[in-house]
Amino acid sequence: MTTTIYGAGATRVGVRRITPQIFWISHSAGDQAAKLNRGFAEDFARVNPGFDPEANDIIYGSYLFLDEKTFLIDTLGPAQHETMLQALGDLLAGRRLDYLWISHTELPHAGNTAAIVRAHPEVQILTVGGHDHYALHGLGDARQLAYGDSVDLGQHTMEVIEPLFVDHALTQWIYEHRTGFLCPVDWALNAQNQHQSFRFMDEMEKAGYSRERFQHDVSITNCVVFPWLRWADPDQIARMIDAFYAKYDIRIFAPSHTNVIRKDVPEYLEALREAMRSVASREFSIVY
Amino acid sequence: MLRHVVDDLYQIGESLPGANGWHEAVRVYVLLNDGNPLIFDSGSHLHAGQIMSRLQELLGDAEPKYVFLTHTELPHTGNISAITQAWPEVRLVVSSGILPHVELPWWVTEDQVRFAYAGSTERYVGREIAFLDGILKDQPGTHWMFDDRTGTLFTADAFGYFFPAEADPTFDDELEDGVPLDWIRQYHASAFRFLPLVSGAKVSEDFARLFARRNVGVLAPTHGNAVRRDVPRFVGKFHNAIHEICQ
Repeated sequence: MTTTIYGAGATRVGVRRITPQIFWISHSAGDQAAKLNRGFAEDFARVNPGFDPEANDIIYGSYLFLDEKTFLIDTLGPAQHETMLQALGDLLAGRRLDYLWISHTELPHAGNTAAIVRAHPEVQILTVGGHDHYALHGLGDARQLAYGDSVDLGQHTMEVIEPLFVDHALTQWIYEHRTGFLCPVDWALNAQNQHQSFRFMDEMEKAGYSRERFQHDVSITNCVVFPWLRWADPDQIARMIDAFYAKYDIRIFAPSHTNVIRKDVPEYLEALREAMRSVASREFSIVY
Repeated sequence: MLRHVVDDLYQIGESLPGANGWHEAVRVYVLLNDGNPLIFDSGSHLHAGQIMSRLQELLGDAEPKYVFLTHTELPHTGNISAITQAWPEVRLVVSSGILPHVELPWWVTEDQVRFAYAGSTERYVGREIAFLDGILKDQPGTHWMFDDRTGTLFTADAFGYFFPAEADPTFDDELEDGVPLDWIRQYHASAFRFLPLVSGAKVSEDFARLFARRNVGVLAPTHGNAVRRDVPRFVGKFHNAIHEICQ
């Protein structure tokens, strides 16, 4: 496992190579996660036995494609602005950044847009089209894409696709046809402990993680990420997911907040579907 | 724009023109609180000059003590830099559900932040503010706040509405038939894209529980004017809009 790490704690960023042309640039706080994230894992574990009480770390992921054109997915958060720029600069090694695609406008995904534009003024910002009031979210100058629009990088073709699960209205997902790379943004989300940083999911298995654990974790975390699922029909959600799986040949599952899944993808996707069915079936505890 | 809502509650903010002539409001609310002002959200960075001018006009020599952030998206946090520069002692009150090191600007320090927990009621310079879950929200770490003294529920993105430009400064009681259902429906369909996937009846059940629990006299949405006279009528239209959008 070769990881290049920049910074520590709140600024910590790690770089992993997924394929020779696709890189995972992610933030996780490591041994400072419990302090920075205020020990949420113990609270989760108290209510949900089976949740790792030391899994206080959350991944914030960004992806870089180095093809004939270069394409960055999301920016990480404001605290990582310097380390993100360092990692990006090292990976680009003097090449220009052609595109920055913003999945949605929350700070952990788009918070360094201005910093990246300052460092790479030639970059074209891409975001979801068909909506309104982009300037409110600092994206007034972005090129707006519609679902089905593609960006040709050379050997890779990035297709903007309609998301299944959204929080913010200005959200889109992205799929790359040659590699079967899918970035479903906030979907999934598994917490990790300080010994599991920057691992691909198959490497997580070597550190005691499992598909069953992933299903269990997502069934808890996605109640928080998509609380509207308490109003949804579990079977309809499962059918939507199956239809999505039938439409896209997913071979690299690369969300924003999950270890990248590059092996045994069908088994993990099945676990994910069942996790989402479980989320939509749960009783949510709401404070009115 | 600065407008008095009720009692010591004021509304500040601007709006943004959009497609087909529909405008979106971005509001900031202020409780004057006997000389110890409390601010709810900070407005958009696009309106920094106007918002700071109106805040200074309203507050005079009184220094705000707390800015309550419903959540951390830019239209809600866009002016915390200007506010903390103008009043360095001000503290930010955020949901316990957010992670400041990834969701707040990098320059915000630990001692500038206070966490609030859904289900708790805390006293801030003499004023009790209750915290509850955001029932209808986009960002997960969204919380709502209730001020019992004015009966105001601060609802972040929920209960907003789009409006034509001429309606910008107008409260519900200044419109002949209140806020039109169509304005409410257009906004919620745009802001909450998951609604077509959910049961409108279940959404309504959640809101019925909320309004059974709290005596809400004023709704204070970020993306609409405060609803201050006939909350039940507005909520009735909201339910109709939700049922049109949802399954």
